[in-house]
Amino acid sequence: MESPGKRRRKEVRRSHSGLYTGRLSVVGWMAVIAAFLAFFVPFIPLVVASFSFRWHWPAVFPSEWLWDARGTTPFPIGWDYLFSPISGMGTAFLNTVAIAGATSAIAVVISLPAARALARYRFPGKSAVEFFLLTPVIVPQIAVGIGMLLLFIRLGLAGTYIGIILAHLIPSMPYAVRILTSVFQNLSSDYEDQARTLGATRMRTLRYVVLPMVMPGVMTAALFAFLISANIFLLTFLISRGRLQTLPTMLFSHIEGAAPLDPTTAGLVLVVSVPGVVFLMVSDWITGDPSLLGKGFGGGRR
Amino acid sequence: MLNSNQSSATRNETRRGDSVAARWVRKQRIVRGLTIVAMLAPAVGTLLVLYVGPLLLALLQSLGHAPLYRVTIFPSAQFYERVLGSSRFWISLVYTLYYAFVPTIISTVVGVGLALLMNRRYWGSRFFSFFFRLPLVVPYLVGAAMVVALFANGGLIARILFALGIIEQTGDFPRILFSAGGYGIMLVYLFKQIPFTTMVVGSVLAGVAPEYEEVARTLGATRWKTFRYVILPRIMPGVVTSSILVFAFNFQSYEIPFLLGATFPNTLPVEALRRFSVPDFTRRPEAMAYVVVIAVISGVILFLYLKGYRRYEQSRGGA
Repeated sequence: MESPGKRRRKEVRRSHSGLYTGRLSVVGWMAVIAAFLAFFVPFIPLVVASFSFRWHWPAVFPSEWLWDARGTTPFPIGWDYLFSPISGMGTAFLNTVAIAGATSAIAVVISLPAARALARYRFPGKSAVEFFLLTPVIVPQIAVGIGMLLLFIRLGLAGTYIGIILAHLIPSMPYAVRILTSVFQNLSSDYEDQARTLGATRMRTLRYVVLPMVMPGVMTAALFAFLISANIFLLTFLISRGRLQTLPTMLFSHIEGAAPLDPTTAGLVLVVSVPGVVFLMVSDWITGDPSLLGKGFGGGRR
Repeated sequence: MLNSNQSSATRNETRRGDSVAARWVRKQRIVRGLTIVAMLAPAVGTLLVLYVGPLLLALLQSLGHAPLYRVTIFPSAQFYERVLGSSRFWISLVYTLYYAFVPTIISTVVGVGLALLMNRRYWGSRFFSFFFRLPLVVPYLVGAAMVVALFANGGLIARILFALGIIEQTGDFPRILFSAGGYGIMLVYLFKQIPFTTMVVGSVLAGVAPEYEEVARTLGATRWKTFRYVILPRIMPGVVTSSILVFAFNFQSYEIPFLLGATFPNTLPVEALRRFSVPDFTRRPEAMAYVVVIAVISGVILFLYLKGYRRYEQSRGGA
């Protein structure tokens, strides 16, 4: 049973259609469908291509499928190659996940105290510090990357995991700081004060009061940092010196050499997209807030 | 002598006297200051070492201090002269600006429009919004692979046109990739950045109360006027943030113009890395001069943009 109030609200909503509220008009529907076509449908030919055996000009559909080659191989040729050790995809995948995991953990640990200080205290130079912590997002990565390469060659870090992780911290940290600052701003200090008044030590307050409350925010920040790191190309490309591959650098060399709709490149595109898809599913699940992405990337109220 | 000693002692006495509380306050203030510094130190320190340091190193090299490459003519503007004196640089600058500005403008306009639509609840809105966010979370390189698959001369769209009898060979399809027109580059940017702008503006829009619009409409404002004078000013912070991030990215992007642009003319970052990989090490500082110039130009443009926005905000506040 609907309450009369709820029904009335529904009617009001139905009768009124604003600029960004209410129902979609026909034109609105057409725009939404066009957006869907433009931003999702391009993935489909790549899925098809990754399973194809032969798809050369001028075929609109693959001319040879797994079914036609069933005698020769049990797997689609592109996937068969990608999952074989020769392609190096397994290593690149593990590298990507390990580097992104380490980057994310370090970025969050470093950003937590800074975010708390920015959210809790007023102090001279605060806005300058805040600005400084966000600038890596707009300062050209190529400038930072080349300078870093010079530094890391000197320190012997070029081409190492540590070097790449350190490089990835730079673009990931601003997102972690931003998200965590807003987490601490939303967290009232009353709870902490109460715990302290009741005799809890600093450590216990942190452990039993603050941490459980900020945990979803921390997870969000960690997810963001993970995603940013997993998608980085240029810094890895510069710092790795070709000595170790991640998924983006591997995709780069495949696009560089391949014909359009080549099954291996197409399959690799899908593998490279895995961290992003997992991010979308997990972040919705953790926060239940689909607008998270927009907020994390810079929109919304601070 | 004795007298003065005595008086200073009494002064000390009084200071100590009136100030158990004051000293406590002073001590607390110092502790608080140290706490803040200690909390900020890891983040700020990391950035200083790993981000400001490298930038300074690049600057130093560009000014002629690169003992590793046997270049020790610091301070010298020689490399800047060589970079700024070449027509290659200026042509690349024009193309960099073109590839950066056009997608920024298009994605901002389209993104704001889509944000107005996507913000509603409609049948399947959750489904659509999940897939609409997909381009946001994949690397730009995924977009590049897609644009190649669709728009290359032997790509899917050309094949469909062939099947329909509109073109007769791959050469009849317009050159979208690997040409100075940069359409392929800009398509990749739009693929990522229209959903990005939509998300950022949408999340600001979600915080704007619908009552504003209702009041404006009730008072007789047209839809356009409501948007222009009521909605737009309120979502402006999101529009500015997203367009800054989009432009800043486009201006310095390397892999997309490298993969999908022409050999020449191409963008400044592509030219910079080309300089960096020349076999003659004594010319490497030229690459450093390139990246410093890239950072400075990008910084100046963003600064002017923000200044313009401040002025707009002030004029709105004053009106």
